[in-house]
Amino acid sequence: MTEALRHARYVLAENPVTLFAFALFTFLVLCAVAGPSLVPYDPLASDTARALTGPSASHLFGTDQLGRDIFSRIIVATRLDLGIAVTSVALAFAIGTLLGISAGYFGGWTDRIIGRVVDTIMAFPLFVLAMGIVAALGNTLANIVYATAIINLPIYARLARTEANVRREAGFVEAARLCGNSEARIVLGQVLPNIMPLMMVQVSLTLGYAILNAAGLSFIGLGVRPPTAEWGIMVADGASFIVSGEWWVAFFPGLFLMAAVFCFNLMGDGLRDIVDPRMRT
Amino acid sequence: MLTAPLLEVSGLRKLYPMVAAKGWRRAPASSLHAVDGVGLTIGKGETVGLVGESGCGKSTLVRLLARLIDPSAGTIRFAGADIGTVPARRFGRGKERAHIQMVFQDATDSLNPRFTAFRAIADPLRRLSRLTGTALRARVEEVARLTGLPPELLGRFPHQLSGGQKARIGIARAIAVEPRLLILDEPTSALDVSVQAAILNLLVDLQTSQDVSYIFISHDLGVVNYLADRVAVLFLGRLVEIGPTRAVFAAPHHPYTEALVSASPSLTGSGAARIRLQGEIPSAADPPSGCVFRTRCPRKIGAICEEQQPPARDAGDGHRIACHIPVEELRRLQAPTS
Amino acid sequence: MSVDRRAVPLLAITDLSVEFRTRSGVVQALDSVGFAIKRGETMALVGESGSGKSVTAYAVMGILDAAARVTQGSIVFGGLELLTAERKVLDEVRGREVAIIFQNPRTALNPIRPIGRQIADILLRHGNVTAAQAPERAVEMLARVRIPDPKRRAAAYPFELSGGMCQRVMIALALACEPALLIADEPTTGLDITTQAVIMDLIAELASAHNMATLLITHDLALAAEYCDHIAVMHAGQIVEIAPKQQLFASPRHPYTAKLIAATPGDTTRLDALAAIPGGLPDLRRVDLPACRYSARCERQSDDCLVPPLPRHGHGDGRLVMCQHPL
Repeated sequence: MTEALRHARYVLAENPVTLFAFALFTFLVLCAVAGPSLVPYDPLASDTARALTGPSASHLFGTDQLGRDIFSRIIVATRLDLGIAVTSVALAFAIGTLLGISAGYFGGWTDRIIGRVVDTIMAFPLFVLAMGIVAALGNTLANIVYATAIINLPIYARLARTEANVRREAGFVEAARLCGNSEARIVLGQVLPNIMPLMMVQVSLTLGYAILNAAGLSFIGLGVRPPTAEWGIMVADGASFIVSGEWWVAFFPGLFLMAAVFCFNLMGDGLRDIVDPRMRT
Repeated sequence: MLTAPLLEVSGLRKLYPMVAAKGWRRAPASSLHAVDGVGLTIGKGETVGLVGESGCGKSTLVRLLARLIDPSAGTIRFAGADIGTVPARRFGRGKERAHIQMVFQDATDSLNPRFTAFRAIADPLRRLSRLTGTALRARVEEVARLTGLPPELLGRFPHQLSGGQKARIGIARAIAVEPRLLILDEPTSALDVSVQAAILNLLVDLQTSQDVSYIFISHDLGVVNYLADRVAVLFLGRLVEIGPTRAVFAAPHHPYTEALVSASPSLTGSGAARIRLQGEIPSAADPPSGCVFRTRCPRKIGAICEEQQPPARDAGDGHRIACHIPVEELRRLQAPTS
Repeated sequence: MSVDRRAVPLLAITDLSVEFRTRSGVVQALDSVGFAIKRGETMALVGESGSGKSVTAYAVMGILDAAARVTQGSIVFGGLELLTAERKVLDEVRGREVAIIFQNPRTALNPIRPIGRQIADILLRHGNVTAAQAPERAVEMLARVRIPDPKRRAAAYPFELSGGMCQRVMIALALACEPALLIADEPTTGLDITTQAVIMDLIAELASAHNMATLLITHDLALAAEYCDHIAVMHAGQIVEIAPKQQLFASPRHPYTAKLIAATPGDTTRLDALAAIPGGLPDLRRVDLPACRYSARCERQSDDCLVPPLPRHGHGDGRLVMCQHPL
């Protein structure tokens, strides 16, 4: 374990960008966890007298068209956006990995059936599929999570399948059979721990995509409903004000959105460097 | 007085159907005869070496004996009980699983990269001997000591260990459950000579202290000479010769064995002219009729080699040679010309 | 400047030291390695993993890793100092005067180019062959290494050939321009015994037909004994002993050589006679390595084994031992 940490520290030291990404990640998590109790204003409190005022000392990021403090709304939205992303990715990861590892390890009909299911999902432009699911089932928070989970499932299934396929011929799998392990035990107890590192890297990368997805759905009105604070909705609200010069309404939520996606992508790359066995000598 | 053999194998066959796709229909075009009618016995405390080149089926044979794969035909009897008919998956749950264990060729590949050495050795003990807690730890440490593994290495991962140490873990894991038959697939071929010597000596010591029989594959005739009481020579899935080691490696022996010995480099240098094998290497998917070695045999005598499978000729003392040439004739032909 | 094939000796390596810069330190891969090969001679460089034998071979060919640095020494081939020669000159020498065949033949060949074309490529680069003649000469080379049906096989790709066949193609590539020296780096690892014998016999035959010197890199002492006249034993980047074959086995002078011979199971080894060599290789990244890197594992070691210089005991006719207490 300590050797892994040492290697992690080495990678972070060599790669300041990754370090920055981890720092940003920590900040976002802090916002999500502690933010709502620390924000200066109630994110839902409107004050039409103060509508559309620019960034100032009292309103760090300005106010929107209903006079709500944008800064507070953004910080509070962190919890929602991160929450949607984490939940949907967790679902996609759990189900996708299970399906993929079974398909890759057992082969045969298991592989064929699961393969067809995954192919079906991938046949659609993924965002359009998410739109369709939410539109059909109704835009509740739960449905947004399910939709995002479904469209991200294939990537885990495929990755797990390939990795399991490679490892099923490995010596240690045969050795495990000699020890009296059942096939199920081998898949979960021996193969799965081996593919986890690569899957974790994928988790980080998918988190960025999931946030974008949730924000995107909200942007077109199929996601979270107003007056809930959510980055996508806020960008949508602010879009109409850009032309008239009130840039801050869309800019700051957009900035946070970008930072979050950026952070997860960089973290994914950094995790890959830490985890990739080729870097370990 | 003859004691009952530990392992008796008879008529063992493993065929892999090769399917040719013809449009929608899939017709089995032929079978790959990985192992084709092998029979041998192993006694208690004996060491049998298996030699043969790539494609001879030795890997398949040992996996059949270890019951990792199921035979297509033939019998495998272990300590009198028929274990060949139990499917491999169910065998893993039976109590015979602990009696037959295996050490793999590539120690690195055979260890789970995410498990420590301790866990690798503990796994069979947990599963098969049902040990837990302090009893488990005690046994793991005892086995580690037996195989010459310093206990501080038990917490390490494979990538932190040397080739020799990994080989010892592979052996430790296999003997932990006190098997009666240990199958070793090229246990030292990936190791340096100095480390190999240590591992070979370890295997010799373990055999006496643990009272276990060995079947091992090796391409190094020197190693086979060193370890094995008896040797079995395989070619294209068939057993062409079996017998006491000294007898098999000296004349009279099967022409293939003759070629192997001739090709094997030795420190002392045989000085004898190299036997060159002619012809194409036959494929296991389409084995030659009659004697499978006939396309390469420098001592082929004629049409009989193409038409009939050679009989197993008795050369005395359990030494059998599958050849159309009678033993006395072989002795005359293979006598060293001085 | 070009290579003089009649130079005596053909290849002379003197005091060669090579280090590798790695993330975890500087690895002193070779320490004052020196030996010589005469024209038409066969020499084996024998050692276990980490002994530096491949590094030596790569240094001669000039194909060391980018992280390698030659810190001292000289490699004189046919009168030409390879370490200081110009790039243009080296490109001419490599392939035409000295050739190398590698351990894993299938991976050493270009997987997407038919083997006939690969041989033709080399002929065009180094031989005096026109583009029209090259394909025919390639088929001739394939026939010379006894590939059956060479004309048809010339169009085959490496993946269609067995390991033994691929190695023959490598030999054909190496010998296409009839070099003065052939370096064979573990050419038969992974091949069956009978295939190994065939390949080694082929190399020996072609070498003697062209009066070509051979440097065989191997960990297999028996293989070296079977095919080479002279044997140089390496340990942890140092040459410990050089001797003609018979003398090396009849009376090894270096303790490591003796142990190596005793550790190799042969026809007559008794069950209790196989001797393991205690200890392991020293960490070559240490800056305080003893003068003799075998001393830590040696029963005969004393304090003067730790202090440089390491004595060289020459015995004429190609014998050399680097030891304070030779046997």
